[in-house]
Amino acid sequence: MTCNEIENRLPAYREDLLSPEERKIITGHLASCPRCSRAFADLKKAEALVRSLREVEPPPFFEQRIMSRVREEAGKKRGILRWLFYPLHIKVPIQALATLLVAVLTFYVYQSGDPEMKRMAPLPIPLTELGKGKDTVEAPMTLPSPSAGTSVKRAPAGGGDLPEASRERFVTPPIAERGKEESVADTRAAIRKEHPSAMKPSDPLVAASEKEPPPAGDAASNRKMDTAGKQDADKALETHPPLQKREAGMSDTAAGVRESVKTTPAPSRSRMTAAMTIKKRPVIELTIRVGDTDLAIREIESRLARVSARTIERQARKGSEFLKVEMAAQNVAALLELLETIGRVSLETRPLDAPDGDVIVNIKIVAHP
Amino acid sequence: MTGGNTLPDNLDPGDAQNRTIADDDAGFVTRCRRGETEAFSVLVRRHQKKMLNIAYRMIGDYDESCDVVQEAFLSAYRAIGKFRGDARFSTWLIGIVLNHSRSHMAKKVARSRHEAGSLDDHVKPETGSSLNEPRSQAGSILEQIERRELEAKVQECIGLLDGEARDVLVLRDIQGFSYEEIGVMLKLPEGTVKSRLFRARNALKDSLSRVLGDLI
Repeated sequence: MTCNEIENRLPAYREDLLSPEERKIITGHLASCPRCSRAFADLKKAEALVRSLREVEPPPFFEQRIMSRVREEAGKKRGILRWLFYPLHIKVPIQALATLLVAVLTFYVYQSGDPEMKRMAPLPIPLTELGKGKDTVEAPMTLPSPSAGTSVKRAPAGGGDLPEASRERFVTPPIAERGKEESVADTRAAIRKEHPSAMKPSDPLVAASEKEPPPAGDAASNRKMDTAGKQDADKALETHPPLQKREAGMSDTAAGVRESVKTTPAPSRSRMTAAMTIKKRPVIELTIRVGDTDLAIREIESRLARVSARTIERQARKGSEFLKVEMAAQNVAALLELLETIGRVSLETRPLDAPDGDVIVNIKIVAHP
Repeated sequence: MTGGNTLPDNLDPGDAQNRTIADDDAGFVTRCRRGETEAFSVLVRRHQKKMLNIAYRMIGDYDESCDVVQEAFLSAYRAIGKFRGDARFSTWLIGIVLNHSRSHMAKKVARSRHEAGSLDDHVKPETGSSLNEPRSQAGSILEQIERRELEAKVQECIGLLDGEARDVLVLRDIQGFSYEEIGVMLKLPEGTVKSRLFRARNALKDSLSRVLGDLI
């Protein structure tokens, strides 16, 4: 073993970590080699010097300096955590309150917004769509004001015996009296101005006299009617002429329709709706029992002209026919006589006390073998 | 290897003291993990001196060591949630201090490469002027100065060791940790720790002999 090898093993020799053989060799070598012996002494001296190093003391307020940094770090960490995950005992009540607030606001908006929606005038229905209907639409007796829109009633889908209140939605077109034609014309001009697309090029009144009436007795038409019933009365006024039935001798606008049309200032987009009111006319209900309803209805319609009456509505329901006629009250008696020749007539309502003006006669034709 | 707070049988008396501290540390560590910042101040108070001395022997500069220890404690606080308790808190903390010290020394060496001068240029004149100078005055002040200068030379020689040798020398010969604990701190087998230590001692002896002359 060379001196260098001995010198490299001296630390282990000092720690007594060598095998007995190596230890014996090194011990013998150190006794005979001054250089290795001196190296061993230096090693012990170096260890002693290192171990004798004094400890240094921390500077004043060293702990405070460290903790200051630590607290600063903790504040940042806590701030981020608090921002991300707020404590539930605070978070949950806030969220509950927010939810409640949203619910209350929604309810309030709904409540306050509902009347606004109701006050809105319905959109006009194109004439072409309504013109396809097989029923005749009557103008309302009294056109509703914008705020009275909610009171508009719909016609029953399949009801032949319409209640009077419902029928008010389906009255004859407002053909103005001669003295009021000018005001009606003004109104129509306003309508054309506001709704050019809803107007036909020619005068609707003239066009109505030229148009063939739609076939009656279609149940689907009642649904159309129902849709039309939702519309404002001004549209009924506008859509009515194309739907009018034109029977021989009955299409004359002067034949007996006497309505009172008044124009009122138009405060809103439903200007023409608010412009008119129509006088209500009495209604007579009667039933005629015949052998063949088709034959009977043709005969009735052919004889209506004799009493200056005209058909304004025709429906077929459950094996019976329904005919709505407009005529002068003074001719009702003549109509009854005519009907007696066709079938057995029973009057459902009491006769008029003072036969004056125009009346609506609802004739129900029932098959009775 | 230590598991949790249990210690091996062959620990020296210094380790026994550490075991007591470690047992106490566990409770404060738990409180720190729960977010009690003030519990960490107890750990700082207990370990600040040892950590500072380790850093100082590794770095050789007092002020820099203070900064390094401060950063090491801050890192420990940030990572205390990851401390699983497999080793004692002090062992884990020393590992952090050593890492910060090595990192600091690496930066320092990189900086010093751009500067003129070396340890020999710096040390040799002082050695000649302080150790070879005859004592003209007796007294404690001179002795203290001489002792301080001697310690400075030893510290500088420690600084000349390579990083691996310096770690084990500081931990074993200065701080008195067992080979096993050093193995845990440095994540090395005991045999490797010993061989590194013996190499470090020989290198330090040679370095001191060159700096101080005759050590005997």
